[in-house]
Amino acid sequence: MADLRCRMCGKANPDTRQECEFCGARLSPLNVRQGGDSAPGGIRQGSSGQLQEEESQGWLARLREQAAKDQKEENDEEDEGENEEPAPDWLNRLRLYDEREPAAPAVEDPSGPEPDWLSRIPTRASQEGTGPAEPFAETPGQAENSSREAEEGDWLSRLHKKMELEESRPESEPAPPFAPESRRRIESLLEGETVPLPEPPPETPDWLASIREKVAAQPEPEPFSEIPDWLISSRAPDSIPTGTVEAPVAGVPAWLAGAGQPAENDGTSEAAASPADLETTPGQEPAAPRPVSQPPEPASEKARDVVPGAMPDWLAGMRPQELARLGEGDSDLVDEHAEWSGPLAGMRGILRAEPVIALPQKPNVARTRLEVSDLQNARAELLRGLVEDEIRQIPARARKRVWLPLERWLVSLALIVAVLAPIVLGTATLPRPDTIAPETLAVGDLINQLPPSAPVLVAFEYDPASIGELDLAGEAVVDHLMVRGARLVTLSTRPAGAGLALRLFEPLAIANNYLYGENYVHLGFVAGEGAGLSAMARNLPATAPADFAGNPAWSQPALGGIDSLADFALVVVISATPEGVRQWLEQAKPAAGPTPFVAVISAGAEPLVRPYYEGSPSQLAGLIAGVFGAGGYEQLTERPGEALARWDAYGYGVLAASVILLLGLVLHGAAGALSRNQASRPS
Amino acid sequence: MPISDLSGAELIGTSLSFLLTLMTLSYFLGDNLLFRLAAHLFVGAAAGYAGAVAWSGVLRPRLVAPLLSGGAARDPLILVPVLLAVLMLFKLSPSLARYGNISMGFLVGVGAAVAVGGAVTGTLLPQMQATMDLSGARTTEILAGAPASVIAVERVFDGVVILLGTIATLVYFHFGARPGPVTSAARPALIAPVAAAGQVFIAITFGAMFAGAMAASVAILGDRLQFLWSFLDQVLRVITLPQGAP
Repeated sequence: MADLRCRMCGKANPDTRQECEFCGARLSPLNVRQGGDSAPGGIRQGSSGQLQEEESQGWLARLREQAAKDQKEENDEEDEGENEEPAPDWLNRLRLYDEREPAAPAVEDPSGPEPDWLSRIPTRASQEGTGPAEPFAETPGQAENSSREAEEGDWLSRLHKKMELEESRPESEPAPPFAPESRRRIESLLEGETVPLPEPPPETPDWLASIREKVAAQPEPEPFSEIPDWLISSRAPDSIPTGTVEAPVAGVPAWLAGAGQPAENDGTSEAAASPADLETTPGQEPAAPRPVSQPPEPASEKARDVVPGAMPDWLAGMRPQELARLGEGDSDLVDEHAEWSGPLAGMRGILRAEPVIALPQKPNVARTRLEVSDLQNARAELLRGLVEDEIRQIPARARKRVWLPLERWLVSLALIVAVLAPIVLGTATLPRPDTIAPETLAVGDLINQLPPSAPVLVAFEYDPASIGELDLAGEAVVDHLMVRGARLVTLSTRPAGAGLALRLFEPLAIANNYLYGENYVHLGFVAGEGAGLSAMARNLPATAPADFAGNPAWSQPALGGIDSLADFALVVVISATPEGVRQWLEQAKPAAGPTPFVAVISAGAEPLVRPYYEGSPSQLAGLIAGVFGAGGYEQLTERPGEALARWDAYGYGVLAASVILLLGLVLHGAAGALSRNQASRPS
Repeated sequence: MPISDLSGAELIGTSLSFLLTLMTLSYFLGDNLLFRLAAHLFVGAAAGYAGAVAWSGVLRPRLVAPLLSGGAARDPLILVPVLLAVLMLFKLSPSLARYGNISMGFLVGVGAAVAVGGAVTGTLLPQMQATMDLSGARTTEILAGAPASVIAVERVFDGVVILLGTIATLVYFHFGARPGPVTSAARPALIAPVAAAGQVFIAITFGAMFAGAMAASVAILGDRLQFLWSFLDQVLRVITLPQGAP
């Protein structure tokens, strides 16, 4: 029975114990360590630390040397061993089993150079194979069985004893050579010859018996040529080390032990992958030679012929980058990861799947050739041309000659001359309006029909930019109202409009002897635009309690009898925009009742305001638009004012603008036609 | 008024008006510094004047003066516009601008309600009614004294033109289109000619508006040129007036 030496206290313990009986440390770890030491926590008896280190460097080689040095002694021991120490029962069963089963076909060792990174894997495995390795997936129960089987494998103990004797022997003393019989047996073991399997003993566990039945029921393994392609492709040429099944190690399958063989063994190691090799154990008689595609060479000769070569490019591309770096650099940094699951459980130095799956790498994009149609090719060419145009360096153009804005100058000069000439000359060549527009007549009629001292509300809804046009019509209407003796109330929803109202009213009031507060009142600015107008329509005194100067407005005589918009006899809206008139009609007109509204507007706002007058019922009782309407109104009231004074200037200015528009239309039309004609003429 | 009768301030104001008018008219030479300076002065003066009017006509008499005289005790509702005005001032700070949304919401809500209500009752419904009315009251007014048959024909013609113009213009703004089998998307066959007619009506309207704007511009140009000429004429008369002459 082998003993386990505690790693903590160094004392020997029976290998049936899980914990050291001296220090209590656990002898067999729960998990196999990741390091190179594959032995369990306890060290087998007879293997010291030094021995273990040396064994890790190639114990099989030393075995051969020892056999050569101590042949005579070995002969005696071998004879005794064969006669006195029968093979263990489980080995006998394996031999019987193997005899019933046909030998698994050996796989030909693929020829070709072996990459360095692959060759290091079996090498290191062989270096680590000194101690009994246990599979990672081995359960505690299986560990007991393994130890029990290891107990039966006394041949290994003998080998260890020989190694200890070799270690204790001086270096200078030559080792006795192996006896011929022993050499033959060892070589047969190294060549991986199979032995017949014995019948399973009655005490065989059920699980092991079921496995044997399954294995026995399996058909004969197919030769290597019929192995699936994926399996073939997964095995790189010469990547699997050659060798035979090594001595059985406790808990280590034969195929795993074979993986640790050095490359100098023959090429029958491929058979280790076959199930039949699982039962191949050392010490058995060699089975029938397995069929191979090529006759195997002697182990020594083949080992000498195996020369590491260059890795093929396709295989180098598949090699993990980490492993490639290791292969180029420090060889000690070879991945020592031990697989812990699957059929490769317990093996070290295998190609790991994690770097391929989990680590980022270059995507494997299928490179296909695009089929480009002619249309797509034409579009691609167009796009390429566009891009080239964008990046093409355009030489700087010659400085363009600066042209004077003659066109603008000519237009401006023509307008200024047309307007200014009648003013400077003081001519009145154009006929005055003798036909008054109906909407203008309506305004005159309404004002003429006002009773004396009728309250009239005048709203100034324009800005200083429009005084050149609206002051003409506004002055004519206000002057007419003052002539008629109306009480005037002015206001504006624009801040600037309040000041413009005073500017227009004061000269006319002086001319018509109007007194502020008695004949007219200026309520000033009403804030809020539309909302302010709506509030004013509902309650005018509350909305505008004071005049423009801040004095109380509603106590003045001019506002007597006025409480709302309906009390006014007329509402006049002077606006430069359609929005000004529209707000008064929308917000104030409904509250004004029957009070008529008239508008004095700019000529530009007339097209949008006229519908309020043309409608039926009309929302505007009268309309005066621009200088034309102001001149007609002055003509109607027979009180010539500024509108008629500028009648020639206005008329010639409009005529000049019309001529310029027509000339521009003709010239640009001709230029366009000429350019089209030139463009259509063949070059 | 002759410049000889103007006071010193009025004379300075008139002189500045003359210079600013010239600076504005210099735009016909192209965009230049004088025109920009005049434009900036005009905008600034208009904004300053508007602010002064708002303060003197609204804020001071209707908000500040009542608060200073204890009007809040008599009418606590006066604090509502004060609060809204203070919240509006938060708009000056980007971090506090959200507090001014209350005032802005109040203003926008009231303004929208007033505008929509007024537009429906003051413009939309009356104009729809006028479009459907073929009585042609204005036509009768214009053609007063003409034979009844002429007035009747003219009334019908006006009504048809107004109806067709309104419908065609509204149809023009229907931008729905269907993709053709060969050509690109186009208006439906029934919509296209009506929309084209509407485009003609719209073009006539824009032409009328442009003509009105041009006429207004010419009127304003005449006013400014007359002012310049009057100022120069009076200045020349003052300069050329012999000393001691009345």
